[in-house]
Amino acid sequence: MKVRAVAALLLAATALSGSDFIKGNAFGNPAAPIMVEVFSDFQCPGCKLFHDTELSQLMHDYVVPGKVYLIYRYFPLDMHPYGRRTAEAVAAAAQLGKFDQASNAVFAKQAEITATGKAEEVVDTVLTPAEQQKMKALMASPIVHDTIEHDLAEGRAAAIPGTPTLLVTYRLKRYTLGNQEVLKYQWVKAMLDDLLKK
Amino acid sequence: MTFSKSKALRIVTIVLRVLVGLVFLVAAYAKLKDPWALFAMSIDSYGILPLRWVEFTARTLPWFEAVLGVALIAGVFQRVTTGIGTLLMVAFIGAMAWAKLHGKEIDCGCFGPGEAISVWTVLRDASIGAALLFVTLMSYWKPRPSSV
Repeated sequence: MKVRAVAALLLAATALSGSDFIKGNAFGNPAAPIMVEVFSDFQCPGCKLFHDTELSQLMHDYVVPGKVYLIYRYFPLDMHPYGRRTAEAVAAAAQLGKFDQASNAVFAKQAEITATGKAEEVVDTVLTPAEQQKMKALMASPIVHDTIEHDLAEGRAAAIPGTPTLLVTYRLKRYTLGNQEVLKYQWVKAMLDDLLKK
Repeated sequence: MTFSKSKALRIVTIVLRVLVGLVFLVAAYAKLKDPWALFAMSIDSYGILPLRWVEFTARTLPWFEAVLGVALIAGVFQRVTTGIGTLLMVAFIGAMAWAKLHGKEIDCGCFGPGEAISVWTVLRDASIGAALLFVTLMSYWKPRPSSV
C-alpha cells in the first residue's frame, strides 16, 4: 500500500514537472483515466501515416469523449537532418497556440521539407506576419529548446524503440506501443477498450 | 558409486524438460499480464497471419503456452507435449527468420513487448527447440537391459 502511495506521488510529481513543457501539444481532459504520449518525428514517414490516419480516430473515439489525455512528444531522430529544425518550428508555433495547424502543415509537406529543409517556411503559411516574427524568436529561445530536450529525455528514459511510439499510462502502469511496421488503430483501440473495461 | 549412462541421460532429460516448461510459463505470464492487444500487435507486425487469426492467436497462444509449460514440468503425455513444443519452436524460429529475411525491424513478441528480433532471439529459440527435440527423442528411447 505504501509502495503504491509513493509511486502515485512520484508519478504525480513527474507529471507536474513535465507539465511545464506542455503548451499547445496536449489534448483532452488531464484527469482522463488513460494518458497516451505520442512520440513522433515530423520527418518520419510512419509518423506521417499515424498522424494522417490513426490520430484523428484516436482523437474522435477517446480524446474528445474524455477517456484519453493525449500529449504529443517531440522526438526528432538524428537520422532525419531536418527533424530537429521542424520540431523547433512546430514547438514554437505551439507556444502561440497553433500546434494543430503547424503539425498538419509540416506533415502535409513532409516530402518537401525532406528535400529542401524549409520547415519554418511551411509553418509560416499557418501563421500571421506578427506570429511569424514571434515564432522565429521562440525558436531561438530556451523554452522551445528545453521542451524538445525534455521530450527527448522522456523518450530515452522510457526506452522507446523508435517513432511513432505510443506510451500508454493507466493506473501507474506504462505500456509501450512501438517497434511495429505500422501502428494499426485496430489494436490501439482494442488495447484502450481492454484497459477501460478493467 | 557408479553412475550409469542411461541414468545420467534420464536426469538431463528431466532437467531440460522442466527448464523448458518454466520458460513456457514465463513466456505465458509475460503476455497474459498485459492487454492481449499488445501481443496481437506483435503477431500482426510479422505480416504472416490474416487479421482474424491474429486476434485468435493473441488470445489463445499464451494460455496454450501456460498449459504446455505445466504439462512439461509435470511430465504428463511426454511424447505429445514435447512433440508439440518442438513444432511450436520450429514455427517461432521460422516466423522470426522470415521477418529478418524480409528486413522487418519488429518486436519478436516472445516474452511480451520490448524485445526486437535479433540473432540472439533466433538462437535462444533454436536452443529451446533443440532441447525439446532431444527430450522428444529421449521419450522414445528405451535403454537396453544391461547384460548379466
